[in-house]
Amino acid sequence: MTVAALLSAEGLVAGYGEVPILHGVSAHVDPGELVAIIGPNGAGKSTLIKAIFGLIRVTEGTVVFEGEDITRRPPERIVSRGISYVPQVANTFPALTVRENLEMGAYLLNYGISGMISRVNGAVVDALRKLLGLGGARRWYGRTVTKAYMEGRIEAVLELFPDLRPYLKTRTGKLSGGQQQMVALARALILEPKLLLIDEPSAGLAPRLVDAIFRRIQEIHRAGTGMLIVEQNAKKALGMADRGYVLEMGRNRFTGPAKDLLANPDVRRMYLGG
Amino acid sequence: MVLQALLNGLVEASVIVLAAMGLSLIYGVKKFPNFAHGDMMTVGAYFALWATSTLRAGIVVGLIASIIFVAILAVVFELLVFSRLEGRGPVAPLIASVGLALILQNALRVAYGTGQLTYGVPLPDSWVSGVTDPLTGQLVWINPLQGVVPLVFAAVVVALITFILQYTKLGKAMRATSDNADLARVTGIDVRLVRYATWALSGALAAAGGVMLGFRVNGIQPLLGSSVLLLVFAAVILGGIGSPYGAMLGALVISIAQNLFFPFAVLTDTPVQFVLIVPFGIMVLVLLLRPQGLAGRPLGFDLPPLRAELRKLAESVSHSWRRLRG
Ligand SMILES: Nc1ncnc2c1ncn2[C@@H]1O[C@H](COP(=O)(O)OP(=O)(O)OP(=O)(O)O)[C@@H](O)[C@H]1O
Ligand SMILES: [Mg+2]
Repeated sequence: MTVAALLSAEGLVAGYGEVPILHGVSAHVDPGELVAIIGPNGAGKSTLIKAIFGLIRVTEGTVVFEGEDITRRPPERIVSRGISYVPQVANTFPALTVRENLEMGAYLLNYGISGMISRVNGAVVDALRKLLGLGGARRWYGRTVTKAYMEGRIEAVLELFPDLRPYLKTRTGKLSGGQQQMVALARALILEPKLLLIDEPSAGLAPRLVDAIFRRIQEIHRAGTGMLIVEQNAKKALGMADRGYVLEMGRNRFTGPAKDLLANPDVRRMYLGG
Repeated sequence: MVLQALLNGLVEASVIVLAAMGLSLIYGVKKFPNFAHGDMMTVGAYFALWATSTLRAGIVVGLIASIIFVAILAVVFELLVFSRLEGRGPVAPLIASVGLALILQNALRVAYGTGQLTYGVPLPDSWVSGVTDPLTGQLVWINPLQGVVPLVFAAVVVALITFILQYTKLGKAMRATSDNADLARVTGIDVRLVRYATWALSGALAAAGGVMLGFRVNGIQPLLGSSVLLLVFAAVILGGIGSPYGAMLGALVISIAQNLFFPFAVLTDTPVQFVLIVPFGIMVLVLLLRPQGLAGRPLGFDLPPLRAELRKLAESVSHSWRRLRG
């Protein structure tokens, strides 16, 4: 293929302490592609996403996003680069209202006072860096926008999740699991990411809600967002994905188009229940 | 007498609440109880004194200078000490804060001695006004400098902090970080920046509380802040640790209950020394019935053991206090 990958992780070795959990895992996502990662409990699926997103220590391997090496960048810089992440657990701020959760999703959009600080800070720090010939990154990320733009983004995600509208002033912790999952997805979409990393969107949800969440994910995908989704429900995940990876014990086990994986007798026997 | 006690309670609450909110903010964002908070208050009280005499300015200038100074000092603490202990659980920074408390306290002792100092703001006699207690018919004295000033000041500060936490981007980021620091990073919040800002705010509150306390007791000495720290902890724990709004509520309950004890003691012939039973008794009772505090919600799985430790500590210290005084 001639298309450059949106994201490509090569030979990642990463873990939480001294012992690595991932032993050289590779995965890539092309622009607008939906890629599913499946595998048994403890295979390292969540760990792979955390390694890509800069949340844990990567000892070997590289993560390249749109041709730029982002390995070991802190998460706040990775978000500002155009990747959003919905964690498997604790993916909302329960003490904050739904609206405040969405505002936190828009944290990198600066307007008003923070916009001013951001502009001044950007100018000053850039000037200083030029003056002193320093490399490195400045500490204030994000871009300066108008308040109307920010409100427009919140409005846009609410259009995708209209069920959340009545709860804007409700503490998120009081919502049901399905509603919280929607808050988490909505929050991740505020910045219009080019790539969305979602860890187990259907975990712990009633079947009816699982279908609703998957429909939303497909809508987001059709709008052109690239996605890397970890999913326990392998059949459903491969059903909507373009490609899939099967991880096992921190290694790539199978890789290929979702159709082929669904047809593969080994994958069927081990992960799809026959 | 009852009205006087209520008023005293309200005034005391206004001092406690300033300290309690500062302590609670740090607990929320840094997840450890800052035992140096009392001594940061003392530093604030002394710095205001120093600023007024050096700058030959009024106490208002001293207060503002002190707020700025302690805010910066708190940021320096985070920079030099607490940021380095990040991710090691609550015990390491807790111990460090105890060490810091001792350093501050003894530095003040070296610099100023152990004598009582006062702001020496003259109080015109005509300012003192009497009010008749509707219950007892007694005349109650309200002293504007020691009473009304802390009260009004605390009300303004509480409103300001509420505004910051509720409506500003930084305040919301503080609440988000306190709620779930990992997710805060994931959404792009610069958690390090939030931590420094929280320290600055907490330091400012400590200075304000320290100066007000100096007013209230009309005497500044090296143990000024640490002597109320336990009451502050009682208020914070009562309100739900890490919740600034709970801290406000806790401060009110603790202070008013404590002051209502005095008329009760006179009526029933109970020794007044038992007064400390009241705040800590309430605290223990609330913790037994509602472990997350009045306003707090259940915290993560790693926090209750710490709270139990604090509870034991507070109980044993209040016990020895009572023995010392009784
Ligand atoms: N925070 C952590 N600290 C230490 N080890 C961890 C941590 N999180 C996960 N692990 C370990 O890393 C390994 C891989 O875990 P990971 O969460 O990536 O699995 P997973 O494939 O996402 O499984 P699941 O389907 O249960 O979500 C497991 O052995 C787990 O015990
Ligand atoms: Mg997982």
